Amino acid sequence: MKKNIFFLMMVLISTGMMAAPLSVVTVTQEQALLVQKMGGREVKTECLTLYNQDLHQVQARPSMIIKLKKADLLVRVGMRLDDWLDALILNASKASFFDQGVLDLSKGITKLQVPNQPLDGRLGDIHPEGNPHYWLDPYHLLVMAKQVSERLALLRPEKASYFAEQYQIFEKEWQIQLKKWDQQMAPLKGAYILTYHDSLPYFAKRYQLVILGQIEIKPGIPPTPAHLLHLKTVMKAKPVKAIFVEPYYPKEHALTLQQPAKTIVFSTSIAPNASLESLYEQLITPLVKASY
Amino acid sequence: MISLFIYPFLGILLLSLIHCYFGLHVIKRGVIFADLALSQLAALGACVSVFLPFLPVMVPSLFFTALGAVLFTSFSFIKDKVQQEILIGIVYVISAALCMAIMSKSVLQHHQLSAMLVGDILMITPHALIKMLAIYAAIGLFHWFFRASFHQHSHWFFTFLFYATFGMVVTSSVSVVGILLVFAYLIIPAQFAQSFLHTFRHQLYLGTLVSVLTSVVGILMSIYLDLPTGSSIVCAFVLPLLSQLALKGLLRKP
Repeated sequence: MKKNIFFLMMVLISTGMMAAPLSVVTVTQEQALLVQKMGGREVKTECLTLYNQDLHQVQARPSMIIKLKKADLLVRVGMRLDDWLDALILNASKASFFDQGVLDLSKGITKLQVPNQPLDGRLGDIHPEGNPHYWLDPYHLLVMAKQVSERLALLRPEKASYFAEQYQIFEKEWQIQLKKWDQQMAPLKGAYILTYHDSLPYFAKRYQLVILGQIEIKPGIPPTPAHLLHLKTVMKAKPVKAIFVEPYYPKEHALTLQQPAKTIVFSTSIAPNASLESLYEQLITPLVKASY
Repeated sequence: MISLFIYPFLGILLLSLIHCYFGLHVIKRGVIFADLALSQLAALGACVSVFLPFLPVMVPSLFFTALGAVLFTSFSFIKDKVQQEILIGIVYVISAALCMAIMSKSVLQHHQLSAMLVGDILMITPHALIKMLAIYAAIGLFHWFFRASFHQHSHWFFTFLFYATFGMVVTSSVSVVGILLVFAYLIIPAQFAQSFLHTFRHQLYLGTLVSVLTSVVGILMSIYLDLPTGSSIVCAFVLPLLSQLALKGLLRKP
C-alpha cells in the first residue's frame, strides 16, 4: 500500500514537473515579450536588462547567474553584443546550456556591416562581427519569432502544435502591422537621417532611408570639434529629417545640430507593459511627423 | 569654426578667474586634495540626482559638497594630530567608489562616467554660462567683502564658509567641464603664479592669464589634432608646468 502511494505520488510529481512552464531567460525586454507570445502559458520569462539600458555597457552581476541557473532556455542577441553572457554561462554551468539551451537569435538574420578585414584596436570598432542591432528591422522580428517557436517545440515536443499555433496567430497580426508601416514609410524613401550611434542600419535598409553619419566617433568619447563641424556641413548640404539618439547618449549635440531636423529619442527595447509594435512605432511615428 | 568656440571661450574666462582665486587659497591652506574631493562629491551628487528626478539637478551636489565642507572644517581642528590631506584623500576615494556603485544601478553609466571626468565644454549653453556668471559673481563679491577674514585662516566659521562656497563653485563647474579640468584650472595656474609672484592680487592676474592662454592652446590642439576639447585642454596644462621648470632653471642663481 505504501509503495503504491509512493509510486502514485512520483507519477503526479513528475507530470506536475513536466507541466511546469519552461523557464526562459532573455537578454532584452522585447525578446522576453516575443517568447511570451510564442510560448503562451507554457513559458515563464525573465529578462537580464532594462529597456533603456546601453547593451554595449552591461556589467555582469551575480544575480544574473542565479537567474541563469533556473533557466531551461537562454535567449541571446549574439553577434558579440552580449559577450558578457559567456562568463555567466560558464559560471552557471548548466549542461542544458551546452545542448539546446541557448538560442542565439542572430542566426537566422542576414547580417550588415560584417568586417572583411582583420580588426585591431585602432579601428575602435565595437561591432567586430557586424552590426548587431538587427531586431530594429520589424521584418526580422518575424524571423526571430519563428526561431523561438521552433526551439520551444524542440524543448517541449508534446506542445509543438500549441507553439505552432501561437506563431500562426502572431504572424497574421504582424503581417498586418508590417503592411501598415510599409505604407507609412513609403513616402520617406531616400530620406536622410543622422544617428548618434550606428544602431539603425537594418531599419534604414528596410525603409530605404539614407544614414548620413553618426555623432559618436568612438563610444564614450565626446565628438571632436572637427567632427561636429563636418556634421554641420553635411546637414547644410542635405535635408536631414531627423537625428536619432538613444536615451543613454548625450542629447546636446543633436539639439545643437538639429534645425530643422528633429531629434528623436528612442530605446532599443520596449518599456514595461508596452507592446512589440511600440518598439517600431517610436521610430516610425515621429519620423513620419517630422516630414510634414 | 570660431562660432563653435564663443560660448566655450566665455566659459573658460569665468572658470579661469574663479578657479585661480580658489586655487591660490587652497595652496596657502595646504589642502590640495580638497578640490579633488569636493569635485568628486559634486559628481556623486550628480549620480544621485539621476535617481531623484523631482529635485533640481544641483541640489544633491550642493548637499554633498556642503557635507564635505563640514567634514573638512572639522578636519582643520585636528590638523596638528593628523595631516588634513590624508583625511581629505579618504573622503575623495570613498565618494569616487560611491559614484561607481550608484552608477552601476543606472542605465547611463559609461557615458556618465566620462562626462564626470572630462565633461564637454564644447556643448556649454548660454543658459549655463549665465548661471555660472551669477553664481561666481555672488561668491566673488562675498569673498571680496570678507577678504580679510578669508585670508587669515583663524576662525573656523570662515574655514567652513570657504569650503562651502568652494563646493558651490565646484558643483557648477564639474557639471560643465568635469573633474579633471576643474582640478587643472584650480591648481596649475595658481601654483605657477605663486612660484613667481608674491602678492595675492598679482598671483591672481598672472594665474588667470596663464589659464586662459593654456586653454586657447588646448582648443587649438583639439582643432588641429582632432581631439575632444575637454581632454586637450587638460593636456595643454603640461605647458605651463614645463615652462615653469624651464624658467626656474634659467633664473636660478649659479
